[in-house]
This record gives sequence, structure tokens and C-alpha cells, in this order.
Amino acid sequence: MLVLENRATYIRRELQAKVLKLLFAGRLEEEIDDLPRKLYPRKKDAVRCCVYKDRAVTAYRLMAILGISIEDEPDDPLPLRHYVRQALAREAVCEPVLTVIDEACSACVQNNYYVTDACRGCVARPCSVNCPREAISFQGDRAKIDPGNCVNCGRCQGVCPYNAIVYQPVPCEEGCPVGAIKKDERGREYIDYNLCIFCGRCTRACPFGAIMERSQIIDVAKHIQDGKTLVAMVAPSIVGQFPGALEQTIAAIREVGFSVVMEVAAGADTTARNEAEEFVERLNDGDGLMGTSCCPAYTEAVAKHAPDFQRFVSHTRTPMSYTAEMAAEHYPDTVRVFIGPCIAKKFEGIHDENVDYVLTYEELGAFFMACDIDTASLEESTFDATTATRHGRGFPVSQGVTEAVKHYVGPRAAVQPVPIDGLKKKGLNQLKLFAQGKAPGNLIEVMSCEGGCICGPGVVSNPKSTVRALRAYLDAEAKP
Amino acid sequence: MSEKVQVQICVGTACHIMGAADLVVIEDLLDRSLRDRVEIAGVACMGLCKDEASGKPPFVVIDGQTLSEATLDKVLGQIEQRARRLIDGDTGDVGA
Repeated sequence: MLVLENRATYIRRELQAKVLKLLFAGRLEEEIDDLPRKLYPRKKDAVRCCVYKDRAVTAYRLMAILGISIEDEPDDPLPLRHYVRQALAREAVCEPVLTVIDEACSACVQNNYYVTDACRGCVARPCSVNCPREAISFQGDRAKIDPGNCVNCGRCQGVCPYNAIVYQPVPCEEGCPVGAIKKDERGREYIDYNLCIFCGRCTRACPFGAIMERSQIIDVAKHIQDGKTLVAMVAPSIVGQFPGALEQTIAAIREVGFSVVMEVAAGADTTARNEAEEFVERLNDGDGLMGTSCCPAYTEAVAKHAPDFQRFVSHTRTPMSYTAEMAAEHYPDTVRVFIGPCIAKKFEGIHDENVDYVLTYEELGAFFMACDIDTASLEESTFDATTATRHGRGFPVSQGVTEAVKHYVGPRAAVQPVPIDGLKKKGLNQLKLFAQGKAPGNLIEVMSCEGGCICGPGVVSNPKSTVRALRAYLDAEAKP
Repeated sequence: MSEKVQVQICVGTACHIMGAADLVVIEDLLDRSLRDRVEIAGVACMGLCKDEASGKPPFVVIDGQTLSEATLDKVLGQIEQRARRLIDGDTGDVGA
């Protein structure tokens, strides 16, 4: 499960808010190059080797927040103000949605197993006897693993009588369900976009914060400053993300500069209704099973890693897609911004003609901070022209989609749900098996994030409290 | 009625985003012997985030003193120190 309570999160949120604050004050271009120095003055204790490295990494973080791919940086570094101009001038956002700050990557161990000081160099030496690759030698009275020979099988760890051998994970690689993040020849990580599914887990897993999403806050802020009409399309997992009632968060979104605030749960209802129709049709046609389609990281994973399952993935579009279509119809000539918990939605948004930008709740929070908005102190407001029901609003928790589809299928067919809650290698293998007709049910719901969207990488609040808040919200609504 | 350590955790939006949401569990982490000497409350935005001189959010005010970039560890440490002083003060009174 995702743990966001850490300093990397703190730093990211602080910088996002600072960038927006300076932009709204009209001082971003002139002051951004001073930010790294101000945050890490010479007198301050360095987090890394020295304040200069801290400053350099901060500058790269700011680039990612400006939406720049760090991989594109020329050898002669450009001042940050150059990237501010570039960000303000761009017409649209582009792929990839992630970027790696190689300077921040600590190049974690190549080998996952390490012999600690607890090794006593015993006579039995089961580690070396049981190693299938002769990777363990003894230097003095300590075992040592030769990284060239070690294949990370872990046998040595299992047999050591002193528990002297530890497993050291590479957090980003461990988080990635598809092996898309790997080491270059220097041992630093890079993303293979032929494999990446944009789930964003690596961005939150790396303890050095070396992988970041390319933010679109500048693009959205620019449109606000230019006086454009902006439509916010807010995902149902917004409940409980910010202090106060949901209606106060809606008011806060208006305060930021959005003229229209739409509920994506309405689109989720359309998704559930259409998926129910398709489900009944497919069963009648003898398909035997159907996979849901709303999670973009999972659908990308199917396309790239389990193509045999592709024909079972529902052709129904996502809640964001239906909502954006409604928005384009009702509010033409507007800037349409999806706001949710998801990084993969940034990828989906680039490919959806009705979606201009995608922000996370965290990035929305940066707008609140930059505009000094205290959600809980605002007068309540409501979503514009919404048709959402509790079924669509229940989408963001694992099996919420299943429940909604089940509701709309009604007595027409027996839904036998198979949830894959949190997509990992095992889940991908399951999908491959399901494609061969070995599914233990007929409605496969896949959520890339364990727990559902409400546990996505872009959330602000701990899912423990937001799941409770969402349930209370749905229950309150169910009462007459 | 004995004196208590007054702890105010800001639950304004900026503090919430920057980590205050995790501080509200502090009551559960407090040493049992100190619990009845500490009063913990969530309070609305105190405006501290708007002034850079007060430091960075999240803010916690303990007996009128502002603690910036509050973490569980920092806040617990402060509370325990003050609560023990109060308790020591009590026993001192008894002896007098």
C-alpha cells in the first residue's frame, strides 16, 4: 500500500505551491532561479552530500513541476527562467507523463542481497555451500557476495543461521508492476516507455523522489491568468481529500478560477450503464467474460503486456471520457481540466480530444495553498448540472465499479465478479490465463492501484480516512 | 482541576496538505500516564501559513508556542516534556 507521509511528498508539495504563488504574483520568471538557493542556503545542513547538490536536484524538481522532461536537458544547462518561458508558451502538453531526475537517483544496489556485520564467518558456511552460482567468497571472516555472479535468488539469506544477510529492495523497480524502470550503465534508473503503463507508482516509491510526473499546473494557471473559462471535471475520490465538506471543496475549486465544476461520477454512471449493456451482450454472444475499462494504467498494461486479454476489455469509455464529452457539448470553447488521484489519467488525457489538462488532487492542493484558500472556511457550493448517482460515486474504491455494473445489469445476467485489486505481475499473469478461458468468473474488475483510485498516487489524504469519508457520503445520500 | 498542556493542531487546508492530517492520531500515541494532563484540539486555520516568518506548515501551537514543520516526533516530544513538568509540579506541591 502506498505511503505518502514522507519528506519527498513534503518537498514536492512545497515546491508546487511556491511555483504557483510566484506565478500568480507575476514574479516566477525573475525569481525561480533563486529558489533552490533560498531553500538550501549555505548555512543549512545538506540532505545530500552538500547544499550544492540539494540545490541542483531542487532545480530539476522545479523543471518537472514546470512540465519539462529532464531527459531533454542540454549539456550546457539553461536557467530555470528559460523553462518558465517555454512552459508558458506551450500550446498543449505531450508525452511522456513521467520524467526521471537522474541526478537525484541514488543508484540503489545492483544486488538485492547484502551480507551485514552480523556475519560471523562460521565454519558451516551454508550461504556459500547453497549458492547455485558460486557468488559467495570469504574475505577474512566475512562472507561477501560477488555482484557479477549473484542472481538474486535469495537462498543464502534463507540458510544463514545468524540472519546476517539482508534483502535490499530497489524501491522504484519493486513498485513497478511491468519492469519498465531499469538501470542504465551507471546504475541509475530510466524508464522504458515501450513497457511503462504510467501507473506512477515509481514516483511515490522512490525514497529520493527521483521520478516525477511532468506537472501541468503552469498550463492551467496560465489559462486562469488569461481569463479563460475553465471547466473542472472532478473525480469521485475527491470526497475527504481536503478539510471541510465536499461542497466547500467545490467552492474552493471555483475560488481558484474554475467557472464550471462537474462531477465525473456522472460519467462513471454512463460507464457503468454502457458496461452493463455490453456485459449482457457479450454473455449472450458467448464471450464468457468481460474486463472493465476505466483504469488507464490497467488498459495500457493489457495493451503492452497481456495482448491476448485485449479482446475481453470492454469497449466502453472511461468516466473521464464521458464527462469530458458532456463538458465539450455543454460548455464549448472552454479549457477542460480533469482533477483526480491518478497519474495514468495524464496519459489518457493527452489522447482525449475533449480533455485539455489533468491535475492530481495534490496539484489542486498546490493551487489552494498558492491562493491562500482555506477550504473549511468557505460557503458551500454544488456541482454544476450533475446527473450522478451513488453507483457512479462509488467507483473509486475497489469493487465499486463491479457493484455499479451489477446494479445496471440487474436480473438480466448473473454477474460473477473477479476483482484484481492492485495490478502486479501476478495479476497480469492471471489476465493471460483468463484470456485462455480460465477465469473463475465473468466480470473482471482491475484496479491498478491497490484499494482503487482513492489510493492513487495523486491523493492528498490518507485512504484510511478518505474511504471512511466516501462511505459516509454515500450512506448519507442513500437516506431520503 | 489540574492544569493541562494545551495542544492546538491546525487543520486548515495548507497544514492538512503538508501533513497535519497525520498529526490528529497523536492522542493515541501519547503515554497513558500523561493523557489526562493534555488537551488536544484541531483548530481552524490560524493564518500562520500566510506569514513566512512563522515558518512552514503544518503548524501546531503548544501552550501558546508555535511549532512549525510539525511532525509526530516533534510534537510528542514537546507535549511529553511539558506534561511531565506539570506532573512534577503537582508532586512538588504535595511535598510542600
